Amino acid sequence: MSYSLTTIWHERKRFLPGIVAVAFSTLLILFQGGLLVGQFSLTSTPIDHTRADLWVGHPMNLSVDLGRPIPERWLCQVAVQPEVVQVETYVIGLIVVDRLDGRSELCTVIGSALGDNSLGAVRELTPELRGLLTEPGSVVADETELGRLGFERVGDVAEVLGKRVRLVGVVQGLKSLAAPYLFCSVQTARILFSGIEQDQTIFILGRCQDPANASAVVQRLRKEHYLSAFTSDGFSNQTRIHWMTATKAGLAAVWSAILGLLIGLVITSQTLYAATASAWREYAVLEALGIPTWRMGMTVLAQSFWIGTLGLAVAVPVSLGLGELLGLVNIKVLFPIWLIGPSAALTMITVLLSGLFAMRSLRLVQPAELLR
Amino acid sequence: MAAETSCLEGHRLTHSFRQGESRTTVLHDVSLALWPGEMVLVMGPSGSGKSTLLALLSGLLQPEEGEVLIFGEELWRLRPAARKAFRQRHFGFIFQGYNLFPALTAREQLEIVLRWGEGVPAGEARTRADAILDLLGLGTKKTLRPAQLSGGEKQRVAIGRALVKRPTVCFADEPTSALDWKHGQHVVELLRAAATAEGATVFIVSHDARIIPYADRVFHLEDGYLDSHDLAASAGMGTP
Repeated sequence: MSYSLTTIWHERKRFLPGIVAVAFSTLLILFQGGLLVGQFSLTSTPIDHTRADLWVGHPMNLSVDLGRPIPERWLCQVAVQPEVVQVETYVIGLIVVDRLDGRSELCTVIGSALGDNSLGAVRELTPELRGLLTEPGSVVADETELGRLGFERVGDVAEVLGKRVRLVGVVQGLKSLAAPYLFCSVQTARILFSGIEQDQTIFILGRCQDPANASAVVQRLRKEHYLSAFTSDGFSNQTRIHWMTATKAGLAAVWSAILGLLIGLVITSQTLYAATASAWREYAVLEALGIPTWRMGMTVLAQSFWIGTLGLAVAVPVSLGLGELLGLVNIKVLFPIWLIGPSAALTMITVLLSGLFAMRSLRLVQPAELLR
Repeated sequence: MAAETSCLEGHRLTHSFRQGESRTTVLHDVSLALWPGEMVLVMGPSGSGKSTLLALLSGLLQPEEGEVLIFGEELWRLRPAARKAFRQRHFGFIFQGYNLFPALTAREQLEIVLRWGEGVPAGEARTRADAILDLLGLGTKKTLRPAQLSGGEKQRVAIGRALVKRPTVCFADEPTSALDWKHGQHVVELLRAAATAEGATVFIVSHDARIIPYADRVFHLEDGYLDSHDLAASAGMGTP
């Protein structure tokens, strides 16, 4: 065991506040980040739960639910691409639902093809539900969001811009971030969205023979046909990032993370400073014996490294556990490796910085003081 | 003894400390030369300037006046890094307190001096540390931490820390002050043995008169003035 780790273990009461501070600030960053990623992943549900490899829409498109009408004839330009084996139209948009109790709710209407090989129908729509949705005015919603839409049970009705819709079934696991999803046929969606002409659609979806070719098709559609095209992964990311930035939630999370890191930095720095200052006599002997100051500084840095490692060892499992707990009450928290990795790296950098600050205490070490 | 064989010399050392508005001179024009393999004792009451003399000779404190020569080289003309490297190569220190890291074992207290100071590999550092601890009678206490050692044992570990790097000069500040004479005597005998066996110069400042028989030369310091008369020689003791 290294001398630094030995010291931390032997004087664990002294170092505990530093470890707790690091664990807490990492937990704050990780858990908040996980919550943010989890919640905003709900905005791309219509993309992530379908079979489409390609999404083509209006050039000004920012996210999947903020689409604008495009000419349906663009379908041909996608269909003629050699890698593409299937295309279809897809109508989606935000719309106000008037509940029977008189209150209104903003929701996202998603109209897709309903065949067995449909690209736009979410996986959760069973053949039976897709069959029911072929009747104009039929909708399906997530079971946890029926209350928000004013539905109590299957068969209930609501009004969308003066047009009646009827709930014909429910699905699970398709909760929205803000505007509940209403799944229906393209025909029903066209009825509800009065602004869309018959020769218009919101998106054109495509499937490639080999999904690995989607990226090349997207590049070609953009370059040669000036279409706003995305792979499903790319569009999913763009949608999440758009909502994260548009709502300033991402910014709030970043500020909160910075605050957490600063708190961790200050407490860890003070813990290390106090620990080093309390051992000034021992360090002074080493100084008198000619041990290089940088070598003693490395000890302080090594202590900060171990504090960071121990803090992470506590924070990561606790964050994952809390995420699992929230999952039990239908709150989505995600910890992708691109969140855990940089969070851990940021924590370690902060802790090592606090070690550098704490090294100031070595300047207090004056061996001649031992002779007073 | 010929002057050219001295390993450490202090010439006309004068030093004072500021206390508020006034300055107190603690050493007046002190000159002293140390030769290899001898044990020199400087005695004097508290506040006589003994520790300051030790600090000046060992390069821990810069004298206001005078010079310190180590193997003929002026110590304070060296750059700080070179002076420190010089201390690392040649000087060992035993302070009044044990000043041992509470978390480290007796062996580790010695190992870090070798590993951090000289870059000695871990295996060799352990071998050398064990050898010194065996010599100091701490063979069975190598893995104990300071809290598990008696006062005498802690002081012996502190001595081991000073001697493990085989210094040219070992400075000891009141090495027996915290010990009863039984343990104190053992400590002095160990230092005496180091001087004899390793050819190291041992410079002790103390007010403990029981050390006198073990010293080659004994000087008295009072009110910052060093009595250059060798008390040991006049008493027929020591082997200067």
